[in-house]
Amino acid sequence: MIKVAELEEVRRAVSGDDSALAALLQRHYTFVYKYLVKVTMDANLAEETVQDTMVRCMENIHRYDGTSAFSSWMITIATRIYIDKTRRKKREQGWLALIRDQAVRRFRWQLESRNEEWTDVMDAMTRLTPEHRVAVLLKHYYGYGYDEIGEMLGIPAGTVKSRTAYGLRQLRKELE
Amino acid sequence: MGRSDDDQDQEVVEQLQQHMKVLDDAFEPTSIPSLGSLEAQVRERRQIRRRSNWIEMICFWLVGLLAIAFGALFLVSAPALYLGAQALSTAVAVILAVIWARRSRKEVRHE
Repeated sequence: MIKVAELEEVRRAVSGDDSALAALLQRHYTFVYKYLVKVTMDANLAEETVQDTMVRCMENIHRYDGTSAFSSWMITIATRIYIDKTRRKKREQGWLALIRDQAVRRFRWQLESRNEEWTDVMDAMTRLTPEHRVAVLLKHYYGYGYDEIGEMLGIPAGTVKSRTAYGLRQLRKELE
Repeated sequence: MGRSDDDQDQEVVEQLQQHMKVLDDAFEPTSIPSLGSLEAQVRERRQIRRRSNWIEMICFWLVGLLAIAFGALFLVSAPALYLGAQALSTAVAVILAVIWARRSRKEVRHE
């Protein structure tokens, strides 16, 4: 029932209904934010990226063809924005490691201030590259297939498979 | 990959799911924009897009008109040169098309 109502809302949003699009974006805001928290392992960056994602979705709603769930479309956009951001930052290599360390420390502090424990798994996840972290999360936490992830990231399914396997292997090594 | 590797992978996946769930539960967005502000933003973006589409279209028409005007001027002032240029560019286009068609046929044969 929810699915049918949402499909109708999506159809209205694509055909130019501003309030339908606003309602859809608001309903998915928390979902995309939580996805970005795990992908970025940085609550502040997640907050910044979710806002960019909302704007990008508003600009590109006419391109949404309904072949995937609206939430999948949103996390595809969120992932691409995040990967673009990290690539841009890579130019400032020297600063990157320092900024990354600070972000991880801040994220750890934010988690611990919510009375949750910072675990080895979380630590290991921060050590993966963004590309490997995204592949591992989409496959093993969100349950997407290799083909779907490939479409989301614009890369072949084989590359997704190898990234996921490598990411998992790295996690295993870190946890041993 | 041996069976023990699969088991270890499965164990890591289970741990990952469990610990990422902790992050899911611990973090909430500091503020979710209100429906009204999102609607206003959507409207603003739509207007910006519409405006940029108009500007693009006007630029396209201006460039098109300019090209037509120059062509007409060229034809009136030096008809022989104009027709020569037209014939030459048509011949070059045909030659390039033939070369391209031959190359793509060769590539298909090699596959």
